[in-house]
Amino acid sequence: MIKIENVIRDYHAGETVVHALRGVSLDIDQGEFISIAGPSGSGKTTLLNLIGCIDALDGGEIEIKGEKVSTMGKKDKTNFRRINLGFIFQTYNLIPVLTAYENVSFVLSLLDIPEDEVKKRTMDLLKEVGLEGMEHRRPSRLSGGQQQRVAIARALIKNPDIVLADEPTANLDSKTGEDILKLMKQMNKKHNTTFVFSTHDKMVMDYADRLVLLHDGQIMSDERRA
Amino acid sequence: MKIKRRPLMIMIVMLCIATTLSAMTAEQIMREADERQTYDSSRSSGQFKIKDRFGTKVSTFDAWSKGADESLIEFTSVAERGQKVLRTEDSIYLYYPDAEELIRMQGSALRQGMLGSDISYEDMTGGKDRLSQYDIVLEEDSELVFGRDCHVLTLTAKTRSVPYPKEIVWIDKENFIVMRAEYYTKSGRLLKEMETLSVGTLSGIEVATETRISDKMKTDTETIMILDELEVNIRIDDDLFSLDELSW
Amino acid sequence: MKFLITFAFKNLTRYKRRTLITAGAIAVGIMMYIFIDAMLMGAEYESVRNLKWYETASARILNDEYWENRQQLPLDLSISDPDKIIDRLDENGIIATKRISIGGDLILSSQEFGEDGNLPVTVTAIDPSTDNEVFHYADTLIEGRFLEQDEDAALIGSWFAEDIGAKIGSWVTVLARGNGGFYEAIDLEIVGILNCPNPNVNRTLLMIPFDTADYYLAMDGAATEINIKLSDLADVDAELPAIQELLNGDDLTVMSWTAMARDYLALAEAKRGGTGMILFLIFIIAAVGISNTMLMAIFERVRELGMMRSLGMSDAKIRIAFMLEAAGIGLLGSIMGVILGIVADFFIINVGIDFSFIMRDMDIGYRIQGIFRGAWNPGTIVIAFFAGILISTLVAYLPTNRALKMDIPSCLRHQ
Repeated sequence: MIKIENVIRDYHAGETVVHALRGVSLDIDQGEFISIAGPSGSGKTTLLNLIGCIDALDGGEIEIKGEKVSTMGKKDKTNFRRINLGFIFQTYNLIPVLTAYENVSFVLSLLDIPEDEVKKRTMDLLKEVGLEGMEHRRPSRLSGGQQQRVAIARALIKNPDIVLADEPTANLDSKTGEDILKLMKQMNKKHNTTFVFSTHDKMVMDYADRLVLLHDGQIMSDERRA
Repeated sequence: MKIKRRPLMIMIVMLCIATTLSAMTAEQIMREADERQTYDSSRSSGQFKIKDRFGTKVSTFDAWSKGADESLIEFTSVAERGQKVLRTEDSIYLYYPDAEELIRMQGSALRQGMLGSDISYEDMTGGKDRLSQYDIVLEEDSELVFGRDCHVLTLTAKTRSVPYPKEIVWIDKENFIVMRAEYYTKSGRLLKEMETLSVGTLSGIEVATETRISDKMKTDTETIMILDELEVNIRIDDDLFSLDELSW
Repeated sequence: MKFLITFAFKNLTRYKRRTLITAGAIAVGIMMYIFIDAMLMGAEYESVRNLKWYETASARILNDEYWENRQQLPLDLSISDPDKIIDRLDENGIIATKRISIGGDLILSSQEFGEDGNLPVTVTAIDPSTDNEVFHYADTLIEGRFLEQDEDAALIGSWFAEDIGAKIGSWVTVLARGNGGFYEAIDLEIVGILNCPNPNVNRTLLMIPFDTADYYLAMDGAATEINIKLSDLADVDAELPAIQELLNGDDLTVMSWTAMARDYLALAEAKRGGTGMILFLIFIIAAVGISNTMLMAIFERVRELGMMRSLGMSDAKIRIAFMLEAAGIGLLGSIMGVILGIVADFFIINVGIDFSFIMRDMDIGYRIQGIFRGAWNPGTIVIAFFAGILISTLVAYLPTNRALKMDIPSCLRHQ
């Protein structure tokens, strides 16, 4: 599903070079619920960005669904993301002027899906993530957990093969964070969507079926748990 | 006896002359006056005093003339130094040294006063055809002007193309100097006046050395022309009156 | 697209105050544009009318050589038998009147005016019986009476009268050159004072009867010009060839008012260019305003932008979203600006602005005495409306580009 081979990523800050990833190789299968963990600066976000096709690598190769995304052009990458990838962010990144419904449904409008189908799918999914009755609330009238539920719905609405989540619970209290993880796992099982999420939180790691530990841009361990 | 007889002789001679003069027609008087004012050639210098309500301005000049038709005036006073007015048989040209510009005066431009004086460029050209353009009548055979015995002539224009439809001219019986002249509009209103304020002898010739021209419609303006030097019948290069020479 | 439009309009509500201020700036620009344009339109319209009514008529017949020498006001370059021409025009249904323009000096005596003085003046000799069929002076009489044939009388412009201190019954003398060049002085009694709306005329006008000028200046019936009135709607230049046809063989030329007023028209053109610059500046200010607003809007939303780009929204769509948002501000500004502009137009058209304190002593070219009144110009209102939207939309392009140049991870990290 996802093939990562000997990926290198350097960041240049003036004269100094930060080696964010120094030869990471990793295979991820369809339907996995995998956590990339490690202290801050270990390269988790960089790895996630590379899988998410929103960053360019300096060496190695990434293949997703048989396509070499690492060599794609900008437009192809954008198209690829639009169809195949969902994102969940630490800070939810909802659009404050749109309702929960609109924050989710707009993703489908980018895919030219008919309006009544958009409506049905969005309402169903919002119900699924536990936001029934809150469809028309704006983010400012939702709690942090509810906002992240909207974000999860937004990531899943187009039925992507892969959802990438960068520290999805870092801004939530532990109880809410756990609820979110449960929801993510539930979605993972139900839709067979591959979830790749980064964290430095032990509790979150415990939910993962597979835990990849990064340190200084290299994989320290890779263990399957389920 | 001899001594006594002499004044008698003079008296007789004078009477004879007077009789002869009085026998002159108006045209003859006019012609005589014109001829005496016209020299084969001349060089002169003098000044204009132009007085208007803002004060008096003095401009000095050198002038050369040849016959009745050609003359050149060059101003020598500081404000106008180098400005020249050239009169040829049929045109008047102005030369401004600062602008290095030569202007031919024609049409209504000739109606402007020279240097803002009461003498228009047209006045300078006028006169040469007076005998043909005016009917001249001897109005009064004797009238005293500034103590001088004068003929009084009335000139009435025969055409519309002269500025002054009527002129009255006082001409000294003895030296034929125009002592006074009045210029009228068509309906008979006094427009300008010319008076000879003093007569002197320059290079042996009796001439009006100071004349005043005043505008009677625009009050408070007058122009006094003073002749300081005059030489006549001298050699003058013909080129002096050519356009090429104007800008030297 | 529907989403992009809703999205853009919802974005406008994020910072209502900022949106309103920016739209307000655009609105003021648009209002100024509409207002100034209406004022200039009105001034030009009235100037043209006052030119034709009091200076040039619709067209003028002149001696072939007159126009070239018009500065000298030559009496000899004349139309020798104007009545014959006027009859000929009349047979063809064209209204005309003869005039003589005379250059001279106005002599003021101390008995009448307190002090002696003289000033150059252009005297217009008119035919009192027909002049008002072509020109409109009779309507401007504010004191005294109009001229009658063959009297030693004059009409004077009210500003001119004020300047020299002339009153009804004052006597003035005009010293002029007759036909041929002779001096003539004409004593004239002021019998009427005209308040001509054309300032250039009101400042200098002195009118006498045609016959009076004819007699004193020995015109022998000749006129220096024949003025023609054509319908206000007529295309003057198109009618000229037919009129010229009537003049053939008389060494006469007919000129349209546009040819005679070329100086004015050039000036009006230049002025339009100048005001075009002012309007351009107004729009620049509005553009800077909206560009700044959009820049702020975009940089506040860099993370959102990163999110949307991650989810596969194309750069083109993002750009359209921002441009639509700017278009929305432009639309709001345009609506407000047009409303304000129409209100301002109502004022300038019905009330006007009194510039007489300037016009009295200064010639600014316009033939208007004091009150500038505007005229409706629907074309400008429509143009201003769409220009407001268009410029706002285009101005958003550059700041969007700047944001799209950032890479997505940087966008997502943006604070």
